[in-house]
Amino acid sequence: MLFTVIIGAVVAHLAVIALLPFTAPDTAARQLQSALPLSSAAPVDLSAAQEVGDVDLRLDPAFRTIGCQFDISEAPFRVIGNGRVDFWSISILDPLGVSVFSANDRIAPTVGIDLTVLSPNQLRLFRQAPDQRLENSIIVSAEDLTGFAIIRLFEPDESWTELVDAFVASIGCGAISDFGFSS
Amino acid sequence: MTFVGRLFFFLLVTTSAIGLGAWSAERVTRSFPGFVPISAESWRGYPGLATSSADPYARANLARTGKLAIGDTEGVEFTAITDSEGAALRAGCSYDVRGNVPTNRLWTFRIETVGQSEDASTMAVNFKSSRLHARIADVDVDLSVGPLPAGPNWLSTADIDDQPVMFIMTLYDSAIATTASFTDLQMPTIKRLACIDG
Repeated sequence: MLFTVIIGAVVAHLAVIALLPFTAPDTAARQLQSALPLSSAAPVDLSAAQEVGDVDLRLDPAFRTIGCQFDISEAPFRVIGNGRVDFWSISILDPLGVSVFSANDRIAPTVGIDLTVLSPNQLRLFRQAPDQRLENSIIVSAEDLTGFAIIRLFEPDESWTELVDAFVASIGCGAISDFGFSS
Repeated sequence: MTFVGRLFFFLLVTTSAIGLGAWSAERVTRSFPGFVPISAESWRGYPGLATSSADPYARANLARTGKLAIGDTEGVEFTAITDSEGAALRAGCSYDVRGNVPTNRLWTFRIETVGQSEDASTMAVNFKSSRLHARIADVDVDLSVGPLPAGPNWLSTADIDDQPVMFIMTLYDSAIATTASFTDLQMPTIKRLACIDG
């Protein structure tokens, strides 16, 4: 009997471990889900949200962290932004908050942020007829139709706040038709 | 054995198995941060924590803490909860954090309180970064952490009650996040100097 209990306990233990990313009440993904409106709305300053206690994502205080939520079931999602900061990085997360793609300013072909998320189907169509306006955009293929874009801007101290604010103001998230791209 | 006896036996076995399994999972994910892929000094690093390559325990712990982890190409985060002697880090003690770090574009160093992440107001936001770090000695990192002013790169803990804290050092755009070779990993030594209660 003890043996059966131990085997059962091991199975139950592993099941709980595997299910926690889906069931835990305050996962980063759940917090983002409620803090970020769906794409085409303005990006959200998560650092500011953390300061007032709306989210508790344990963000790096040396960075301004900006988030957008997207849904690419209708159209691809594009995020743009420009300005002068010492360092920026971007991460594309799936609906569970797992990073499927990340980049920083060194690997990007442009000075600013220009990234487009497409479903495998949209990517196939895009490859057949590339749009020139997206030629400098980082192309990310996502398996899931929803997710989050997280942008991090380095803000070492208050003297950078103005520059970081200007960068934040330039950030746009939205369905690609909003950027004048028609299929 | 009668039917009632067998039913009782079955229920006893299943409930104790599920109870034991769930209880142990709850205990483990509360404090166990996952199997550590890289470590040096008292630092533990988790490249790929945000990605699907993270082990199930690391993902479960991350889910419980609610932390938004950084992606591979963004950087890699190291955490320390003990000094070089193995004693728990405390806000009421002074520490020298000194040594070299793997190649990076910039690093940040911050202090968080331990085990109270559900209450954001208790979380310290005290931080330093490589941009505001005077390089005087011939090492990458030369920080003084503690409640009393010390050295050219002092990070104050004076506004935190004396309690266990965690040091978090993040290396942004570091090759360590994307390469498989973790040999010769160098991280700063955390040396305890003195505590306010002696």
